[in-house]
Amino acid sequence: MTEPSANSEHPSTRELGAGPGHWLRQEREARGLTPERVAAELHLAPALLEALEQDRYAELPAPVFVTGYLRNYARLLGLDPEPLLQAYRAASPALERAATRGTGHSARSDGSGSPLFRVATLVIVIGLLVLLGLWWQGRQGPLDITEVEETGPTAPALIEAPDDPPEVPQGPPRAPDEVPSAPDPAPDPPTDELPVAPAPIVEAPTSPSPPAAGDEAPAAPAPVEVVLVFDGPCWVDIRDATGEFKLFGEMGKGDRRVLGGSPPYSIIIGNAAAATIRIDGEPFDLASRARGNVARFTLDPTAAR
Amino acid sequence: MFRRLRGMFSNDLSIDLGTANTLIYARGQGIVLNEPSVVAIREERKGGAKTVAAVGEEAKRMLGRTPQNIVAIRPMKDGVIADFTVTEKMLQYFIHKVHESRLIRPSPRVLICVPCGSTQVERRAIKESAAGAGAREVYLIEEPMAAAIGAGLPVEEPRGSMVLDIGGGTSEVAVVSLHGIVYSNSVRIGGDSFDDAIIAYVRRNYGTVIGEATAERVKHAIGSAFPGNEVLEIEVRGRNLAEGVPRSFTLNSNEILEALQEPLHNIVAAVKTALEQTPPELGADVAEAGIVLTGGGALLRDLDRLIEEETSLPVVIAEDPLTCVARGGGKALEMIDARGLDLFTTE
Repeated sequence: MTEPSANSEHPSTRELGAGPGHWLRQEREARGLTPERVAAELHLAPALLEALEQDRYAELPAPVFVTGYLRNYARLLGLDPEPLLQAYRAASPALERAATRGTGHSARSDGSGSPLFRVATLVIVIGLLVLLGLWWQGRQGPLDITEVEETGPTAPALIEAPDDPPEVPQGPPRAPDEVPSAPDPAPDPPTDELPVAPAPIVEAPTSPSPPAAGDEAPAAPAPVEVVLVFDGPCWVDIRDATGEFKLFGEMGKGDRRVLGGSPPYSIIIGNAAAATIRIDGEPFDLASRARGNVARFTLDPTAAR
Repeated sequence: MFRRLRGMFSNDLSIDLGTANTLIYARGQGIVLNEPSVVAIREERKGGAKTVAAVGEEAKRMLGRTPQNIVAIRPMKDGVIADFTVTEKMLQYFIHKVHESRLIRPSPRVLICVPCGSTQVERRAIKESAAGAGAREVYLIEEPMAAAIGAGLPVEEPRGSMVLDIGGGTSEVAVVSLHGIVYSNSVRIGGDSFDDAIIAYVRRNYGTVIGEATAERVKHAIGSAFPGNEVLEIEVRGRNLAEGVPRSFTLNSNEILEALQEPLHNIVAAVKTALEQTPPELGADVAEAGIVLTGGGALLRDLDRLIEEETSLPVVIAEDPLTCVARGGGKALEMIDARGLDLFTTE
């Protein structure tokens, strides 16, 4: 007798926007049950039952409990719980959506996140391959270096050690260089000083204006001299501020290079352990710039000194 | 290195490696696999090479119906590994099945739920077996924690919530607060014990032997935990012990209720012990909000009413109780990645 009335009443209550609690209360009153009795049957605290019947969800525990209470209440009254639960979900959009969307949304963001992640890995892998290719080119290209060296004196690209005939770039400097640098550092400065004299001669016309160097040594307005000495194979890529001067390629053991062009230099040294930088004879702390034996930094020798 | 690379092409998985069913929840996809934990193994001749004949649903249909050269086994017993190699094979099969369309061999991060009562050795075995099945990293989480998260309990709040997870082999009861387990207890009673109880009852009262599959069918159809208004009946066939021939007879729900008394009593006792042992503040929280039931055992008719009557506390069944643990494991993975929480147990 009460069943059909409940079913006919249900849509109207939903249209009115009343929650499931309202409907359950009506059903309870139709059956002549007191709230105390129902609370005892459901083992719920009377206050909780009241909140449930008045659809005050903020006072009720987590949604999982509320749906459970509604289901048990419906069973007690002999009703079908499904429409009640639907009404509850509709009536508490904030609570329920938050709960369902919480997982749904994160799931979706995962879905879009993992392809993104994959694209990123692909980019990284391609980047690594490109780097490997560059390195390989660099390995094959000591020819480029000798070319640069040969053109060095004419264009102020790279200033070799002074007594260096361009035809034999690596023979003579190796011997004097290795001897002082390896056994004791004391005689090293003089050998480094040697190129200081010719350096400004070539440098002066092209880049006469490193300001700091100017104040410091007014007698010889020499730009600061940066010398790279290698005691093992090392890949380098050095560019000056203008981009005109560059040193690019693999250096061998005993190679020695003086940087020309205008500072600051952007420097990449592939094997930082095998390279030593001296700025005007002062050793430069390369180890602190190296990350996993690769040093990438910008060197402004005037500031570094 | 390559495992990690392969891992980028696999999903994180949360596995509920249960005695009865194995469920896999993949991040971002939901439940992707729900199959019985059964493996059928073929051995052509005695001492010969063993091959896997079937896994999951297909193998379950073979249970108790195999010829001599095939054995259908359930490698999990009481929530823990009973047969290490077979479990590994089964996990391998399931993980591959989830990644079916992939070219690259999957190497996912895997979270596995373990019963809170399992020992170090048992946990180690589960971890090793998942690693052997190709998992890149294996995390373990205690089952009731996963169940509580999956059921949507407010685990992050300083508020006690009691969850009762009735699985195939074990039932776990735990009080959870602030992402941690305050009290937990595991009893080795679950859906399987219900089946065994039905088999024993039929044998005792009808002098007839029925198989596990039949007992499970009876339980699903007419099993209940609390006397209801209506009496349901089912017709079953079994081998009569006295006559030695198959006989058909009718069982009703009241008989099954009687048969299930012992396992049910043990579960209720575990819940009562848990309530006794819970610190008073948390106990008050539980008394106010109630107990949440999860796991396949929660589907036993009127089990919530039985516990409600026995404890005088409100008892609610979580939505979709079967998948609660797997879903909770998945959510736990997300929570850990998002907030760096440490929900995992060590070995």
